[in-house]
Amino acid sequence: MSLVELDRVSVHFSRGQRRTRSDTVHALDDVTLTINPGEVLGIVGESGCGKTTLGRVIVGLERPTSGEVVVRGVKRSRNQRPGANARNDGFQMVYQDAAGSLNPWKRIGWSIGEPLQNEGLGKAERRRRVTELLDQVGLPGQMIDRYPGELSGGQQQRAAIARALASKPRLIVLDEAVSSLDMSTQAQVLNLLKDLADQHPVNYVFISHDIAAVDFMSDRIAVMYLGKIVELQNSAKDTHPLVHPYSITLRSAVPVPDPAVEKGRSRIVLTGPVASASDLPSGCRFHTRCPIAQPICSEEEPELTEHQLDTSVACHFAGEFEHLYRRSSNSNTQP
Amino acid sequence: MAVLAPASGPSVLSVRNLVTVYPGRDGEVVAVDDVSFELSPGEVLGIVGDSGSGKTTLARSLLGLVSTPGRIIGGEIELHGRDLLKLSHKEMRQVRGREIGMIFQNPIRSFHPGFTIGWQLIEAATQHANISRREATEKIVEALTWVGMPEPAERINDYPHQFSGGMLQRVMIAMSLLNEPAVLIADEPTTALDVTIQAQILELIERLAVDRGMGVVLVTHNLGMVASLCDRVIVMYVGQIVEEAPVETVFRTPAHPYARGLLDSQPDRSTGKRLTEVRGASPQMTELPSGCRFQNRCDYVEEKCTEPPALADLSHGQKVRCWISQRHGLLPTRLADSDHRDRAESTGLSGK
Ligand SMILES: Nc1ncnc2c1ncn2[C@@H]1O[C@H](COP(=O)(O)OP(=O)(O)OP(=O)(O)O)[C@@H](O)[C@H]1O
Ligand SMILES: Nc1ncnc2c1ncn2[C@@H]1O[C@H](COP(=O)(O)OP(=O)(O)O)[C@@H](O)[C@H]1O
Ligand code: SF4
Ligand code: SF4
Ligand SMILES: [Mg+2]
Ligand SMILES: [Mg+2]
Repeated sequence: MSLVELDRVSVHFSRGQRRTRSDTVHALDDVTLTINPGEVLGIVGESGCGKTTLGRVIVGLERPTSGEVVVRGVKRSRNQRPGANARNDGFQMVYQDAAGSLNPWKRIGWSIGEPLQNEGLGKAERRRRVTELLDQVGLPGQMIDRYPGELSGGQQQRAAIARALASKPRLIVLDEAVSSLDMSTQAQVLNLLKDLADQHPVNYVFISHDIAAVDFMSDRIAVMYLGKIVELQNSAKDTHPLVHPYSITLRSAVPVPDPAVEKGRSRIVLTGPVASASDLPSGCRFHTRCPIAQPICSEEEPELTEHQLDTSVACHFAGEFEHLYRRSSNSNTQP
Repeated sequence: MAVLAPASGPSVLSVRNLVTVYPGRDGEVVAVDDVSFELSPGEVLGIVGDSGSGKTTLARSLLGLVSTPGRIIGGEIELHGRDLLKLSHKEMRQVRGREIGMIFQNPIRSFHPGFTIGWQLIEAATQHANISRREATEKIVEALTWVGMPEPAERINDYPHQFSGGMLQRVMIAMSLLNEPAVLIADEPTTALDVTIQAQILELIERLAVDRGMGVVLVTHNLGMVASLCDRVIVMYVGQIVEEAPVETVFRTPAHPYARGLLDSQPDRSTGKRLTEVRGASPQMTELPSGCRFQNRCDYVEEKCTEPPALADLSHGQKVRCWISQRHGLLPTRLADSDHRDRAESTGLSGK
């Protein structure tokens, strides 16, 4: 049985009183997705494309405007308070800003042990559990009596992870959880997450705008653009290259740490303006920036469909990027 | 003190033995400790290092903008042969507007929210040059066009919050270009931006260096950006330069164990299941060990490392602050990792 299933889930926010079209923010539109036990699902995309909202829906902190969420075969009730869903399902979320999940006025040990409060543990027993958690995330035991302000960014992020682990969650959504860490600390925390997953039966949803980190962490990858999943790869990254024009551009935009590769390659630079989630382009949402857009793209919205085994893509011209791109860049240079 | 090779070619910017400190309750923090480097016209010099290693302090020192209570207590910063540290505040402000441009990580904070972009750009342009507001406006529209702003003549009437982060960053770059400075200092100019926007800014900086011969000092956490943009790299660790070399050299044969550790920990470079990591954490600047500052994290540590190594030349413009690579002329391939760790632990030098 799958752990979580999203069926045509949308989340719309309305800004202001007047509900005109442009007052509605389409944070998530028609997202269908399955999370299997034991897998790491990676989510990439630009800021504002709906990654955090999707993460919050999965955890149960955000109620869909429409669509269903099914957790271990059971439909999530629409009447529950969002926080209660997360608790019942044993799901946790870790945010980019680790300091935000630690109470600045309480000692680290208190913050980590807080989720254990309802478990009826004695004081000594709770302290023992917290010490264990500190050890698991590689923090020295004396940290238990420190305040968040006395910890470095990396140590705070470790403490936030320890707190998320306290209630033995089945799933943790990591939302840009390493993005604010410096280079050597990022590697340490990514390794820590991998090690923890090896030792405990925990699922991750790993959200990041850093495609290299997502590649490294994930078994499957979802690429999002303006509230939609535009590509879903159900297999290890090495077997299939990304197919959707946006995914291809995204990967091309990221410089790789190798001067020999970088000096010799040309980058696909997007020129069009970034579209907004409250004023969606017609047809394919990417058509205003897509390097290979064709007339049909502004008229018909492509559905996410299986392009090849293990790869679903929402594009009218899936698999045709290379020759269409070559054609369009040729016609640009000789008008 | 650093052992320096004589500079080759004319530099726009020479920094020699720069020391910047922050006084504090727990003692003085030497955030920039005896830093020297040269910058040629058209050259992009990358500065990388962990958080707190002194990159921003260095960048701000070059601009005469160290935040209080910090101050520069030694060294020289020569721009076209003129020592900036001898200038008055007023003269330094002129230099910042005209000869050195700057862009910072958080573009929104660099603009006043209550005035249009156009008004602020005109202020900046007319402050330093004797031109009319009309001429200034023309210049601004031209600069905005050059950085790829769509409809610049209309957009100058918008307020900062009406621009996206990427667009504001371009406005800031345009502003820093108005007076065609010889040097551009950029402190993490794309960290707050999306990768697709980052790619655009990257191309922009490259064009500045190549087409206009501007020297660029680029502080960044992103080794991909260094690889694609920089000609030379400085690696900082706890206030000091620990390695400096042409970019290809650093990526192919890093000489400092910290530099090698950083490179090996990149997700794209790792093939195995785990990333290679630089274990442990940097020492506090108020609690520095005697000897090499990297010793608690180093896989190569030996007895000699309790004495402080100097920054010395290897070859091909590569400099390193490490006893081992200085002795061997390069950093030897790692011995079996566990060997080293055991040794480090038994000498009590290993950090947790
Ligand atoms: N205004 C200040 N007052 C006192 N100490 C400061 C001040 N600004 C920075 N420092 C200290 O100086 C050292 C270098 O800081 P700096 O901001 O230059 O680092 P950085 O390399 O830019 O780090 P990051 O990558 O996090 O931006 C640190 O130890 C820091 O705590
Ligand atoms: N509580 C909210 N109220 C109104 N708009 C929101 C809210 N949360 C998110 N949004 C909007 O929804 C869109 C998606 O946001 P988010 O999920 O945070 O994206 P990401 O995490 O990919 O940056 C954005 O346009 C954002 O401004
Ligand atoms: S449908 Fe058209 S505009 Fe959309 S990604 Fe495919 S080619 Fe580009
Ligand atoms: S001097 Fe010693 S401790 Fe320092 S980097 Fe070199 S080998 Fe490591
Ligand atoms: Mg987000
Ligand atoms: Mg900084």
